[in-house]
Amino acid sequence: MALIEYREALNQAFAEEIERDPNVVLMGEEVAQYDGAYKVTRGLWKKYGDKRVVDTPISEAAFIGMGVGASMLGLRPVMELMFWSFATVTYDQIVNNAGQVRYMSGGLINCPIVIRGPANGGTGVGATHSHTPENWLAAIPGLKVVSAATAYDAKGLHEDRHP
Amino acid sequence: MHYFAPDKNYWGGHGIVGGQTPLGLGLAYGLKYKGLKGAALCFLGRRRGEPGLLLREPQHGGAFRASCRLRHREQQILDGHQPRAFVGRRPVPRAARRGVLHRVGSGQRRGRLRGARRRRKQAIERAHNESKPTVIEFDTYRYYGHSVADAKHKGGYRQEEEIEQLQEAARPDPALQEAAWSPKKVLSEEQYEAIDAEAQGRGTTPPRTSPQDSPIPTVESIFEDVYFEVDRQTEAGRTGRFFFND
Repeated sequence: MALIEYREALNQAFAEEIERDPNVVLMGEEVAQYDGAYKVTRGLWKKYGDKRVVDTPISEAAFIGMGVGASMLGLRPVMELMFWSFATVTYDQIVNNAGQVRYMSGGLINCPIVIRGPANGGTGVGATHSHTPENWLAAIPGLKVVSAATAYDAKGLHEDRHP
Repeated sequence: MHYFAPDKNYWGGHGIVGGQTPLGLGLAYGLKYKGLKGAALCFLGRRRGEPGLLLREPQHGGAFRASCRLRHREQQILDGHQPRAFVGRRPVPRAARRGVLHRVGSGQRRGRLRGARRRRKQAIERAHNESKPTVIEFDTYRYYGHSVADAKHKGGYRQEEEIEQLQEAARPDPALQEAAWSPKKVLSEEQYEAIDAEAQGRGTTPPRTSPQDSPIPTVESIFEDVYFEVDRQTEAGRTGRFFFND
């Protein structure tokens, strides 16, 4: 098995999914021209262009909600939160819209969206950027929460067709 | 609120007021991404749009050149506010300073209806042809509080005399007639009568069986109409994991 970094595994998964499905689009703050705040999306914007890799304005509530709306129409957005702490400002979009639209619509509307990013403490980024809110969200019906421990799992889970 | 019918392009009412505006933008983005000639119409009340997201979405819409949005404003919807705005008078259009392009609400009844129709058409054409967003602010009026749970739902939210005055002066039915039979005839008298008859029928026909007439659901039916893939046995429904015991 190749020995690669965690972010390289993610990068490979995104490239393979962009190639596989024309509805996959990467979105987030600095994911395109800057190659990602953590260089997870390095080279993808140059390779796939503006349509498939999109920089968003700085408003998690707005752009995550936008991704949810786009996914309702059949797109498969992969949204990066620069820190999962920012889930607090887009909690309504994740919980009430992404998580519940299937239930609210009686199963008529799907929401095939992936929201991903680092959640961590101890990296010196301050208390408001150090939450690990995946356990909060795991309690919400309609959301599937995964926390990949290895690069192998991280790549494989991003390519899971039947989550 | 409450309309989910994707086959009719109704993408839902969303319970947390104001939270629907990014979804509207996302639907518009999806239209543009797929190369479809369409426009997403997103409705919201004024007070709910004031904080946060409404300020952002014109920026997003501009950045992505994605969307057409219509803004529906309800005047004085907060309990306890005295109605300072009434038909024919307008409060200061604060939203109009944030990239809002159009306001509809002034003038005579006929002018308002025509204005609403004209502005809507302009906005949709702008979305179709230029992929640019539009915000339209309508002056509207509501009789009662949002729900029976609200304080002053009836008997205090508005003064009864005020409501009667409004109904006499500006109820939509004669306003529509006036507009329809104007020199530019939007509707024929026969068309109007047909619409009116259909609307009257809808108002008196219960939309669904009342709970008292329905059988008690079984325990086994608890997941029905919840998981699309499972109900329709799609590939994901046959092979995915949806329940705790899968």
